[in-house]
Amino acid sequence: MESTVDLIIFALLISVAVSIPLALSHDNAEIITERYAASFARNTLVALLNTPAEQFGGFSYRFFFNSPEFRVPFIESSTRRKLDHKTIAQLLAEDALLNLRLTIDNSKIGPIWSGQEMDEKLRIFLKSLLDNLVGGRFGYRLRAKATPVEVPFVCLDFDLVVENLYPARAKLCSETLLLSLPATENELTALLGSPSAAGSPWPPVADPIIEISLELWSR
Amino acid sequence: MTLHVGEDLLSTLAAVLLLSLLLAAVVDYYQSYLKRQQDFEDFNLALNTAETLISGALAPPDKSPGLAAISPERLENFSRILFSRGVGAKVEIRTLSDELLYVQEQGVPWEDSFCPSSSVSLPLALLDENGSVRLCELIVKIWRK
Repeated sequence: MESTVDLIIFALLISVAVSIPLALSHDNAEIITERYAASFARNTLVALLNTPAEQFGGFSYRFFFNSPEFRVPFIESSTRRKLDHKTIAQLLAEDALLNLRLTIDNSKIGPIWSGQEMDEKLRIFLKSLLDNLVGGRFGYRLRAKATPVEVPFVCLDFDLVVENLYPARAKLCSETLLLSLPATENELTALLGSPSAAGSPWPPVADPIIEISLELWSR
Repeated sequence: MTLHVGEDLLSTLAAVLLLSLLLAAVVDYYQSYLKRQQDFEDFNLALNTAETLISGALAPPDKSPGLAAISPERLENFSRILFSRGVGAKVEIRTLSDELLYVQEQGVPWEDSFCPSSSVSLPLALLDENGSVRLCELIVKIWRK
């Protein structure tokens, strides 16, 4: 009886010792998954930003003017912009410029231009694209953020988020690319109503950039 | 010393049975562990191969970042080097609608029933001869000799 009990304890100790390598191999599985996700995110971001919109069915939007007298059919049709030849990176940069939001003293004033249609259409376009490319393997969050002007009490920024995180369990990786915002310092200062950068109380940052990040989540 | 035949025999049988079960469990665990380690190494190799292809053999002549271009000679050389190191590889480039644009294989086993040791796919912005860019998928399958 005693020898049987000794044997059972011995068997338990051996089982514990054997299960340790299996636990380590589970860590290996996580490392490999994260490595693949990082590589996938990096290549997806770089490939998408260099591919023209026509590869994904094309992209167009109508640029609205605020005044109601411009909302007549022949003017509206002439304000349609067909951007099939532009890459995703260029579309994001244009969206950022058209939808910069002004915030003064924590109060959101709103976008400076009327680029809402482009923003809405671009979000739908990107969601469809990413659902097709990434959505089957991972949950994702694509974020494009720019803050070309940020001083005390005044902020001019842009933030676009497109995501599909249902069902998502844990964040695997995040890859980021930086793009230049295609606007000069004078152009940005002019958006704030100041004629020259030298006289502006709200100088924009040098070399404004858009930060584009892609997070991948496990399903 | 007195020998209790029934009791000692039962204990011996129980001990032998437990030891046998334990040995079988240890062998099974260890085989599973080795198989998983091998799978991880193969996947790592496939991923390294795909990344090396994208940054090397598939890089366009002007080295534009983020773009790839098919060069059959460079891909063939790469596959040959890989094969000389004991790794068979099949490189496919497909469109998003699964149309095959290019395939290069070296050291792939004849029998269709052989599955690759590991397979990896990554997106790719492919520059074609006209200068237009198309989003494709690079699929790398590897076999160990």
